[in-house]
Amino acid sequence: MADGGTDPTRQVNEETLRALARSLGRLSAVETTSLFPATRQESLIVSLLDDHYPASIGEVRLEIRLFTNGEFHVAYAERYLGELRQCR
Amino acid sequence: MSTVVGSISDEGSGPPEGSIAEEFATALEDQPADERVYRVALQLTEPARVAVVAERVDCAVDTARRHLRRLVDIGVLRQDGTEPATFSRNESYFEWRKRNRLANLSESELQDRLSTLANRIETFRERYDASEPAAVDALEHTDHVDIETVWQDLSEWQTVRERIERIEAVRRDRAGNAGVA
Repeated sequence: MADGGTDPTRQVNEETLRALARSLGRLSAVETTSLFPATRQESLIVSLLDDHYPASIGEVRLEIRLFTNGEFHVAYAERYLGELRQCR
Repeated sequence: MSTVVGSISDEGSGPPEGSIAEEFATALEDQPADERVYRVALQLTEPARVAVVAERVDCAVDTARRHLRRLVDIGVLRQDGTEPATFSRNESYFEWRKRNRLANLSESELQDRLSTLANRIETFRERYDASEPAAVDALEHTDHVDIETVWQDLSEWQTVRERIERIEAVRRDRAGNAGVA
């Protein structure tokens, strides 16, 4: 276990996120998956194809964070007429 | 881009309801039993009985037991109890996996990762005017952003620090092994 953690039971659940990235990456609605990108080091980012959305909506994505203490966060984001909208 | 747009529902062409979820569920159900057990095993942060795993995997109890024992044999899980048998993640295995992945990278790839992580640390230091996440009082920053965003940043900051420590440990091991050779 790495030193310096405030809660050693709370690590990023990397293997589950890797498995999720593989499974989600095969879905027809998914454009790309990105695991731990430079500015989201705990997250799996899932970009969805915007074919099913109105033309005013783009950059649709899910952000998933999972931890080994069972904690998880899921956020949805889309760009609507250029404005970022999100919920979590 | 459209010029006149109402709400999403006004446009009447939202994503087919449930299609992504259904496709995802079908894809998971179509996986072989050993993969389904492995996927559930990755989430066993608390000891779980075989019957509970079998129910989550949707397979026979004997099938779940066989795959769980195999995962114990290779170190992914540990058996916590015997009467009844309970299983949970073996965190030392997952730490080994992380280090093993790093050990398979070249020195320049490790340097690139360190550089990316160091940049992220610098971003957090500037954003919170602090040297480490423990030195940040989250409540002091809620006039700019919501507290959940601050907590998320502090969590990521801590994770980045741990990743840097892990990479440095792998590089030390590598240097030590080179010295022995």
